[in-house]
Amino acid sequence: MNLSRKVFLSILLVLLYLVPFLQKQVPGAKGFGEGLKILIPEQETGPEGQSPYFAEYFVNEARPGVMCHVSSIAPTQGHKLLCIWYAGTREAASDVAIYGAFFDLKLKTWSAPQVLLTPEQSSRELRRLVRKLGNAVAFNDSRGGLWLFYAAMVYGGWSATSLHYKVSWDGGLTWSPSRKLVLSPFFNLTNNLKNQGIILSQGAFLLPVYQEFIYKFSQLLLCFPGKSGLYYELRPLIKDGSAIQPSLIPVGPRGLTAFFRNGTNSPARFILRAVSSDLGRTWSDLTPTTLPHPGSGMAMTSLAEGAILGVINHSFKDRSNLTLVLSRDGGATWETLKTLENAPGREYSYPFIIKYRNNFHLTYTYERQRIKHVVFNEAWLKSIKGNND
Amino acid sequence: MISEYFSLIFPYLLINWVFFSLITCLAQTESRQNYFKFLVPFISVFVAYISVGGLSISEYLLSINPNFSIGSYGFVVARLFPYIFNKNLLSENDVTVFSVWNLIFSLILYASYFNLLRYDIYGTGYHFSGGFVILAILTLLFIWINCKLSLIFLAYIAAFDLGLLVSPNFFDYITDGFLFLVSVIHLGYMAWIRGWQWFHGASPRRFPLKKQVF
Repeated sequence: MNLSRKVFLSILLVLLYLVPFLQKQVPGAKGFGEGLKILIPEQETGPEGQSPYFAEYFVNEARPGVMCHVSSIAPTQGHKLLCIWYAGTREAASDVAIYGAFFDLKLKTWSAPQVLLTPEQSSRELRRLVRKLGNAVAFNDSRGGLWLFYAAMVYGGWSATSLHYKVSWDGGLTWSPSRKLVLSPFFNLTNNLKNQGIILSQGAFLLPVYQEFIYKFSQLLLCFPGKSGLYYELRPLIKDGSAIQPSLIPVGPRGLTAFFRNGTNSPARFILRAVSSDLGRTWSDLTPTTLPHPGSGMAMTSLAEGAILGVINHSFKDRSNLTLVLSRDGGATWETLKTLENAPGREYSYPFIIKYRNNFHLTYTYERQRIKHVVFNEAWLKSIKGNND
Repeated sequence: MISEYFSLIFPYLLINWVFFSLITCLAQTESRQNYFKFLVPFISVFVAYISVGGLSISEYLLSINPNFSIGSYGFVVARLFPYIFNKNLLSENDVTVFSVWNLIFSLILYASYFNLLRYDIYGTGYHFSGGFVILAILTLLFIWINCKLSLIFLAYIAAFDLGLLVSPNFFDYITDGFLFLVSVIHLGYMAWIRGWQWFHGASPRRFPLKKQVF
């Protein structure tokens, strides 16, 4: 190679690396930068002036030989909520499909469940082989997009999942074709998700995901919806302690508290907790809470006065109870509010909770046969708190 | 999106490589050389893109590995080049050095990503970071020592700037699971040859077993 060619290639090299360098310097560049902050939804009212409200529904009917699991719920247009879950003969079976149903907030009724996605449909949309479907989460962004993130498997089981998404701009009536997320450098193995995200400024959102390929740990997916799809970045959340299925609680404009399913095999496990003050770029060490844990999904949400409401299996052993717990100090100490379900030998698991307008909407797996929907408000929480005292 | 279409090129190149390698092992006469140069790329189009059971072979391959890196493109193009142009793009020594680089980089990246190292390298690949600087210096070094690998290293960043791959992470442009595995196989094969030479004082009988075609 002669000298002039070397000089030419060297200049070309500098110019090529200048592109990402300059992109990073652009004010408001996409990424875990300083410009992002958490958008806290406006609280309509606190418990004052409300009368206690509590209601229970079943989203679907039990069908012989069909299990259903891992529900999530999100508001949609037209004063409705969309609940999604997966159902099939067993977990990670090839006949598992993702189902959805709408809850009419005025009529207080659930529509008949519809199949939102099958492995065959996902395969057709992606133009890739999809043999099985898994966890799915519905989530609203700040610009009217309703996102459906779901796990799918080409081969193997839960440790070979990868994540995909669809988006709806009409409240879940129609959906975009599926798109794949590339989140791992080794054959895209293996990411999964359970809980909802946090809405950020600039139309962005944070989605908590987790890894189960070699070690179990949690990650944060920072998403920027755009016209040509979703731009995303992945960061580790917590790499210690087999902490998975993070549930994020916003604390101010850039603070986060995360609670984790404890993925260890210890007989006396506790739900784990970590905090971040810089929107998830750095995290505190992992600390166990005082909440017992059987190794199951749980959900957390924030209340009007900064308290945290948790929905957990309050047990070291099994998923036979589902309990509301409350913390007023950021998750350091907890009190039990109410046991929603308790039947030895049965399963009540994988809760998912949102606050929409004045009410909390909680969905969970009910005896693996149905998805149950529970609605309550803060006044009801305050009333049961008063009764417990 | 350009990345969706670009990703379909790699399976075509891979199928070409597999066909040329098989023919080299099995073919009988040298006279077929030019014939195959045109026939194999032509047949590979059909094999790569015609749908079988709803998906093409390309799409099945992309189902297993959705993001073939620019390193993989470089490796396969380097292997394919002599079959079509009758000369090497990279020498055997270059390919071995490239395989060592892929192996080391992949192991560090995977160890970091899968929680075997404390520091997360993968997360720094979305934006300009120290990893970019190291890659730029290595590329500059390869340019000035006349190493042809500099072309692949330049291709990493050029492709990243153009957004040719599905992944938005720069490190996914450098390596992937497929490249890691073929690099391990190549280095294993080279080690076997060296070991054979050391024990027997001569090279082992190599493929093609029959007459060399290309």
